[in-house]
Amino acid sequence: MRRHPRELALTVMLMAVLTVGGASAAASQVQPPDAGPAVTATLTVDGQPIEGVRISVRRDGKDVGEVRSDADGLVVIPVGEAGQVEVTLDVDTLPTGVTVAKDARTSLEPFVQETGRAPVVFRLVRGNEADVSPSTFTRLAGLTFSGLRFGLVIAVAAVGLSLLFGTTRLTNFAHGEMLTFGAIATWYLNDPGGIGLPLVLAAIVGVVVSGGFGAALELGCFRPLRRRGMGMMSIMVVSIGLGFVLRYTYNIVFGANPKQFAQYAAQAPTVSLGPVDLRPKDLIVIAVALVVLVAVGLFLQRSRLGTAIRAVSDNADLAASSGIDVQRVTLTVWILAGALAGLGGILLGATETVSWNMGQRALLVMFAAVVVGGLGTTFGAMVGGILVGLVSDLSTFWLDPDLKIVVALGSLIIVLMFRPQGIFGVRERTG
Amino acid sequence: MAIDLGSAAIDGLRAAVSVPACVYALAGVGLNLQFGYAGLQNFGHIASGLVGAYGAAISVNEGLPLWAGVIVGISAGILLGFVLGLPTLRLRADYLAIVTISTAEILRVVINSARLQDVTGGPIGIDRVADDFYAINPLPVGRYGVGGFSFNQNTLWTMIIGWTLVALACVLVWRLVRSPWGRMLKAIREDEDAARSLGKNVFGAKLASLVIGSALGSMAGIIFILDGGFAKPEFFVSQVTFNWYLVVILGGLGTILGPPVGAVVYWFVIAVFNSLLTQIVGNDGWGPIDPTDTGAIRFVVVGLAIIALLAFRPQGILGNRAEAGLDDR
Repeated sequence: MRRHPRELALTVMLMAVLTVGGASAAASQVQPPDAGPAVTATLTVDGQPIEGVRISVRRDGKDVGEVRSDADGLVVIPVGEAGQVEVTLDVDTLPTGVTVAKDARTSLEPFVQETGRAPVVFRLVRGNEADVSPSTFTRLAGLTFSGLRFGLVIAVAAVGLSLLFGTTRLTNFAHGEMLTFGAIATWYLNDPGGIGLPLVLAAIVGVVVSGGFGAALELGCFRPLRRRGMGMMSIMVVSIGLGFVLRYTYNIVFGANPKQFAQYAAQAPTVSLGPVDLRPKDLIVIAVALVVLVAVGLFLQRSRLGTAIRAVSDNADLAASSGIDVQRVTLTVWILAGALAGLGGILLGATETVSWNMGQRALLVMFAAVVVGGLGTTFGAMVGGILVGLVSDLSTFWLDPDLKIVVALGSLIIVLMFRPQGIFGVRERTG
Repeated sequence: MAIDLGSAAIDGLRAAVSVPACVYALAGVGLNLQFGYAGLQNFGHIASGLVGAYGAAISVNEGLPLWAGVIVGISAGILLGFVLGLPTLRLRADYLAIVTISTAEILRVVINSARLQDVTGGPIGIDRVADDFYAINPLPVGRYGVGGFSFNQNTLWTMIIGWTLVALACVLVWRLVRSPWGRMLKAIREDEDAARSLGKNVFGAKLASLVIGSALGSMAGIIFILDGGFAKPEFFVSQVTFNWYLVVILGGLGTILGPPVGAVVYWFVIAVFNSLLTQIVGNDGWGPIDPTDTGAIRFVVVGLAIIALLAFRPQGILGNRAEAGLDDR
């Protein structure tokens, strides 16, 4: 494949255009700005960088170069010119307790492009798993717990998605960005270099601001479009466009790198609960999520406004003719959905990190939650969220963590095939 | 700092006829058949490109000739259409949207998985896919065109084959929608229950348009990897589906030539915009905007364009408002 360098540069640029977003953001962390054909690798185990591992590159049996990984686990080996090379990891230089994963290779043969960098992946694990790893029971208990925590957070955020669908029939593809909004707003409120509120206070203000954001989306975008007589299918595509605008605005303003809240970022697991050691913040996140879910349930069942929301969900025309102000109910639902999604983002940010595309990653899991539970049913979204969280986290007992999302979405598709109305939904068919 | 409008215009013209524009046009013709004519919301159209590209790339990597790989890729696209359609087309419309975007994400994560590195190449992907294709290139080695507006023989060869396929696909869609079957498709889009009560096979028609669209998407995926000769998971992220939506809406939903026109205009505008933005932002940034932000700005513009088009000109460039059929769905 001989190509003119400029030609190739443009092709690569156009491909970068096609690939966008997450992938390129991830890649830019690995690739220093200086160009030229090179092999790159980042050596980590459980997110911890591994330093001092020797990686060598050979071409046609001749040595091209070798480098030891730096403090960030990063390896960059220039290879001079494009072509197929053989990259080998020297197993003897791995620190004690770290080995190459079972079935994984220590030698790879990537093809390096003329202007590009070929990332290679060596899968490393903490070695002698049998000696140091916790028992099967402890691991399962830990995963059950983390799945429950993740599921509850998803449930909090997904309730709003389900409420919105119930009252307006909109499948809101910008819901992930509403989640990110809460996390980012709270991060700015909490940032010691800025406003510097304590995290708990920042979170409370963040939830209020997120509710206002939901109202702004309804009043500034969706209500005017409905007034223009736009059909629901088009509004769904608009919500995708809106998601694009918001997500990449976050990328520009907040930056591409994940950040943590100023307090409780690195907390030691000090609470022992049977076989699992927990960080105190995990318990707080679970408690907050549970209290909020119960409160939302009570609000919908007992309060006048909640009853009105359920009435509009059941049949908007009938509700309107019974004297319910549907526009007002819709606005309330947007506020509620914004606040709940924002809270979900804050809780997710507290357990993991805050990043510009966290909502995009959570969106499909939220869809899985509401579909598994039953689209438009509030309790379905809650139960669906917990189920999807549990199933996907428990799957990492057997599968790679990056396949977690596959399990979550797979469960969505299986539920749709066998019980399309979800667990709590009422059977409804077209065709 | 002087702004060079001429070089921006050349960048735009170049992108307007480039391989990516032709890939967008071909995928757009498929999406237009699904969304524009049949009213199906396939939010995972990129998955058809993925199975086409990887079907071909894996076959070539396993030692098959490229023509066999192309057949495998297109068959994978057809199969994907059936797999997506059979369980979901009888369900409510939004389920198709959720299932298709989920399937696209599942496929991307799976081919990206390090565990499948021996088959799919994992995050590295598969290279040297198109050697057979370059070998039958009748164009002599060299550069064709004037100044900045020029292409090497292999890219030009890919463009010729790609745009020919776009033309053939447009003729196919034209024949289909002018037939009684095409009128039924539009009837289904307008009022599914009415079409069903007249005894039409609504499910069958929807499935057929999904499968044909998916096959066209798989061809687009194959053309895309022929240009560079390699397939990577990061080409097939979900955002691309929505770029295709913009292309189809921009050109005009439910029109024969809408997708190619939309693709050409999209790439022209994006490339001119990108060229100017890069010149303005330069290496030092401009106000709050860093040089690394230009990609993100482009996507903000894409999102705004989707919203503005649907709000103010839902029929796009070529369509008429009634035919776009967006007002009541």
